[in-house]
Amino acid sequence: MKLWLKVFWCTFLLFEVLFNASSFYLITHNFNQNLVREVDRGLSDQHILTAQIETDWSYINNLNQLLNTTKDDPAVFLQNNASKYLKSFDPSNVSIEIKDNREQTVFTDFSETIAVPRPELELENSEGRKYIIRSIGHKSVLFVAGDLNLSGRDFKLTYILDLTGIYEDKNAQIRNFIKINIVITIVLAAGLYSLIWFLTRSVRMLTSSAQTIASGQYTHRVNVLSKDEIGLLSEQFNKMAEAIEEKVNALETAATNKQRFIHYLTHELKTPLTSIIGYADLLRTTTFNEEVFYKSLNYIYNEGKRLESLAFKLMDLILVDNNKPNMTVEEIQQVFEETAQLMKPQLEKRQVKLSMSAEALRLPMERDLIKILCTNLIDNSIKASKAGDSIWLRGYQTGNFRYVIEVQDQGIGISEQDIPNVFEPFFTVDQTRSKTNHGAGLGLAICSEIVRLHKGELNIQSRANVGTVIQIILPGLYN
Amino acid sequence: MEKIIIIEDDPAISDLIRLNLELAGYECQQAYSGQDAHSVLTDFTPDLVLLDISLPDVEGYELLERFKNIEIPVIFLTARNALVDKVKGLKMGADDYIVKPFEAMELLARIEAVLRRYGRKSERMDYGGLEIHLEERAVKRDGVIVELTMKEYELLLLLINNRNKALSREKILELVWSYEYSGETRTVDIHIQKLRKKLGWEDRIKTVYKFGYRLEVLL
Repeated sequence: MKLWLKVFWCTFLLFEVLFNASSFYLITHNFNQNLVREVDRGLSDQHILTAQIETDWSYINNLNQLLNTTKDDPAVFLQNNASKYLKSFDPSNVSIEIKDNREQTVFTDFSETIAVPRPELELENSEGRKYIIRSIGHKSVLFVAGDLNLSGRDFKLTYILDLTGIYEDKNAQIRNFIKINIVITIVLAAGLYSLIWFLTRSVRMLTSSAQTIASGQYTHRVNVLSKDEIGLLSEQFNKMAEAIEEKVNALETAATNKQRFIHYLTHELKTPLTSIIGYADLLRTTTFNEEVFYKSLNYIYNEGKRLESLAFKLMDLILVDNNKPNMTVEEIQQVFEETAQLMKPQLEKRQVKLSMSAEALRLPMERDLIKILCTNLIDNSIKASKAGDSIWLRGYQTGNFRYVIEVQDQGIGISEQDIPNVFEPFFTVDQTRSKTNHGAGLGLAICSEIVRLHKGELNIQSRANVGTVIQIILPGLYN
Repeated sequence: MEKIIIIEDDPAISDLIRLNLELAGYECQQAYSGQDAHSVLTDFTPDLVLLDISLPDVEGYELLERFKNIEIPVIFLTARNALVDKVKGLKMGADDYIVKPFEAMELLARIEAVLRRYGRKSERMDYGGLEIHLEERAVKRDGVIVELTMKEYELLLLLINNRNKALSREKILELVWSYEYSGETRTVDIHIQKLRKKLGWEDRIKTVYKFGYRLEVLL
């Protein structure tokens, strides 16, 4: 069952139980009080009546003695006079019944027959009175019985009070209450239902939004309707959805990049392989022809070299990718010198001059990676240069204890629209040129990865056919 | 002599294709970029185009249109193996699609199939004193029909199309009998013997030691 229905049913049922219980309690309490009052009235009326009759009788008896008239029989007196006493009561409600000690009815004006036994008549002592309420036909009647003593003769006077009125009142109240209850129940149910439904709509919206997002629409957001707890929950939910969207986008970008990388890699692997396999096949299946023979072997060698260089670059990339930098504090000047030494054969072969100037400074670095970085940058510059050009490798301190590694060349440069692409794996500014240089287009991708590991910055300024300046800014010891 | 233009930016691959095609008797021109292709095409009308998809200046797809307009068949050469690339190339009207790295024999077979489809392969082939009528599948020497079985005929065509190249027994088995090598290469030897005898080509069809056979070109 849904929460809002649960809330509805709980509230509704709780209200109904409490409302009914308190109403019935009130009705019953009221009725009981009325009943007690009526019984009290009956008891006192019976008492007054008995006293009146006894007083009158003793008066008449005295009068008779004074006048010496014959004594009246009390039974006859009661028969003749009882009805007069009733005049002061409401005749529709009140009746009396008088019986003598032999249980013979002396007088009654009660019209209904009364079923025996009559426990109220069995009085224990002369002072006591007893009462009982019993139903006779459709009526409820109070019987109050007490002794009546006239000149030594015992009678029993029963005061009979019709209580049907208060029973009917009670029933009328109950009927009324039920009618009211039905109306209240309907109004309450409708009111509660719509109110709770309205108040919980934000929960339902949240649910449907969660489903939408779960189904893959990560841009979807919850409409925050209120400032209450659910509103807060919705806000938090939106933050979560945002985080998920970002993550998903990042994953998608990473997947696309990886896909593109593989795409290029396959291309870079297949092209030299096609040549190598093709020329080898040509050589083994055709008759010897000197020109074709040397040409083919030359291609096989060059394309093999190209594959080798690609393999080395890929290994560098894997090394950088898997590396958790193991930083040590090293003298940068030394690294520069080692790099220059490493590049020497290539520089000589291409007749390119390398000028080096470095401020000595001890820097936190992963030595091998910085060396790969420097060789890659110089390698790129050599490939861009022609014989007789110069390359400058500079190192100097700058503000905030940072250190700048700068490589400048006079090479072909990079056109403005290509600059954003140079960090892409397998991107090469001049494809035919890089093929003759065995370039794979991975150098700057590796460099930018190394710079990222050192939390540094990489800047490129370049103009086509003028040259390129690449600056690496590394954080110093202070940071 | 069918003419073929090779539009491929990698000189190694371009040369490789040229060498193979020339061995098979095609006339070739090479172009290394889109622009290059345009200048070559001013005084060269090819019967077929071999087109690399990724050229330095244009995408191969862009050149395709030009050749389609003058009804020259185009075979794409590419390192892209993705299905979408294949479908795109074929949908745009390429006649075939070859993925690098490819084998020379496969390339030749596909070129031949495309040329035949376009009717650019001449119906009659003259080679080494033989007239081969492709439509009738008949071989004549000095106007007299040489009786060849179906397999012998196909074997002969294979040798002529790959003349000057050694064909392994396995490859012959695969291409003529169209099943993969399963150890039984004697069939090939027997058919070669019969062919040699029927054509009097004992010297022409050379045995390549531990490999297969080669049809020597006539000088």
